[in-house]
Amino acid sequence: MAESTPGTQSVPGQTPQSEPAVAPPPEHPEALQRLLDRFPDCFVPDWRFADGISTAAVPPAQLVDVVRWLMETEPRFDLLVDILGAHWPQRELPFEVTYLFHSLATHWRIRLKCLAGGEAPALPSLVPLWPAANWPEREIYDMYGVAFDGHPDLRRILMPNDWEGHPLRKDFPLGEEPVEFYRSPTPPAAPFPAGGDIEPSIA
Amino acid sequence: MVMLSETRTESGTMILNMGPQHPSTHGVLRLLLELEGEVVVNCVPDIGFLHTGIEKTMEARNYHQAIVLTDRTDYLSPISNNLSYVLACEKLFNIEHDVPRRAQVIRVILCELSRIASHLIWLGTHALDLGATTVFMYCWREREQILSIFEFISGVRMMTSYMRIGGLAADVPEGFEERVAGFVRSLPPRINDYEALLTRNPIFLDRTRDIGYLSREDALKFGLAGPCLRASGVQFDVRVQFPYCGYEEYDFDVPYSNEGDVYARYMVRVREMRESVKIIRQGLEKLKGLKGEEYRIDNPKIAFPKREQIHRSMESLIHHFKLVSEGPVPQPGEAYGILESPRGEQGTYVFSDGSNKPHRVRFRPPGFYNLQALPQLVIGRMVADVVACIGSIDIVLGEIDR
Repeated sequence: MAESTPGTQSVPGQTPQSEPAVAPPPEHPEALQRLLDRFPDCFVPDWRFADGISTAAVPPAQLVDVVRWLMETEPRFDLLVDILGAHWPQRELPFEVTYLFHSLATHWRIRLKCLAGGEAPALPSLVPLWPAANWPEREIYDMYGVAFDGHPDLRRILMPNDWEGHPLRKDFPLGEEPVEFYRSPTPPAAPFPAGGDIEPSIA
Repeated sequence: MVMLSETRTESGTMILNMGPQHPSTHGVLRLLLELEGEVVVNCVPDIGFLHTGIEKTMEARNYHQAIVLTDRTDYLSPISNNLSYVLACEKLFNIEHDVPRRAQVIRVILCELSRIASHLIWLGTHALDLGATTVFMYCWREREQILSIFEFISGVRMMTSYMRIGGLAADVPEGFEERVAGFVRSLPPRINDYEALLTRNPIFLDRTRDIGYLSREDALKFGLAGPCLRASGVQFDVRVQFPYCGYEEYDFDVPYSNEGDVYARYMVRVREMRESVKIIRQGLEKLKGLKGEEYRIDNPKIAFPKREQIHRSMESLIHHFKLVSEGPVPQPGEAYGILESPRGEQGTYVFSDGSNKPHRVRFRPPGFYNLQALPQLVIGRMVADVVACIGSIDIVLGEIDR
């Protein structure tokens, strides 16, 4: 766990674990330390990162500045590896967006975490800095309904344009949906009841 | 921008739908092309036709059950998908360093075989798109041999699901080494054949040289991965920079090129096949010293006990029952497992909330990022070059749409 790091704060809404979990020490802590020195509002989340990638939680208002700083400061993190979302319904800010960056000069990696919540969850878009962020941000918008302010083309990417709801949210039922065809002339059948999560029969 | 049909716009350009059923869009990719004469002025890829909600489905399965779903993403190299998920889970279960060496070596051999199989499909279809039908048939012939090796070890040609958290589903059967050795003996002359048909073929050169150029800066900007990134002069290969399964012990080169065009991507992949042959040979050499060793960790809380143990010991039977009915339960946390798939950095991100099912699984599909750069490749080019460009980025819509 990262509790040995001074200045550690817990992610809001996250329950502390009773058993100490095993996690490797973060790799390349110097890159992380420099980030934390430069941006004192960032902190290391109290959470087990089992892959050892250095991680910082970033306030959304500072995200663009932090990423620009990472791109421009040695070792320059010049490859955007991935952006992904997750939904933790029990937390105060339920939507967690993770950014992974890679530095080709040193082959270090750093991970940033941003939280969003409320009626209309939104985060600043990285597309003006990084064209690679375009499709992954659209996917998070599609799957979680997190909007990205400043995105040039924010619309659904994997689901049909007229789809309702955001499939990867935990409250979206995982069940057999009636097959709907795009602009189908027949009205769709009654939807599967909400919360109709199929449990594996062997559970 | 919304472009919806094959109509003439006010500015006199024409909108053309390419796909989703076009044979050269390699699956169900739809491209909206805005054409001025035969020149592409704009290109908007439209994906999602193959979306099957695999990530959502995995959240309702336990950690072992989810393995079979990973095959269905990148269906041209299912072994790589299996492995990247399993690597992430091994980090999550904190058994990353306990996986037996025999399992590691077999994993490397299978990964490289699936890289060759995937590159063969890419080479065959890419050449077919450009009019060279013979190569297509030859590539299929060699790929069939690899698939029959997969069938030999796992019983299934494509969706092998052969990896398990902590090792392999079963040990490789007797005769595996000989079959693989026979295949890698026969492959290099065959690659020479493909090269004889293509590398200096003037028609192929005309269709690929200086087409679909992507500079190093653009490749980084769009987050490209794998051979596409290396063909633009970036020397980054997960096998070298973040070695997994003991790749650091193997001696191989990472081909790269500074040209950045379709031809460069062709050369990088063909040379990668030769490097894979080198790696497989070294793997077979290592396997000789590991006869009869374990192929899965001996941790009854995570990995299935062996069949003989279940027959003899009560504890094993209970563990087996618990693993089937409930599945292994990791500590809460998250882990990112990566490997170099035939298309680039294939990552699987697994979140655990301390229950027996993953809270969230995310695939980092290399093709998703590679395809994003397609408009950059084709704008300002002829329609016929679009076909060459799509072929050269080697997309698999199964992993892009998931």
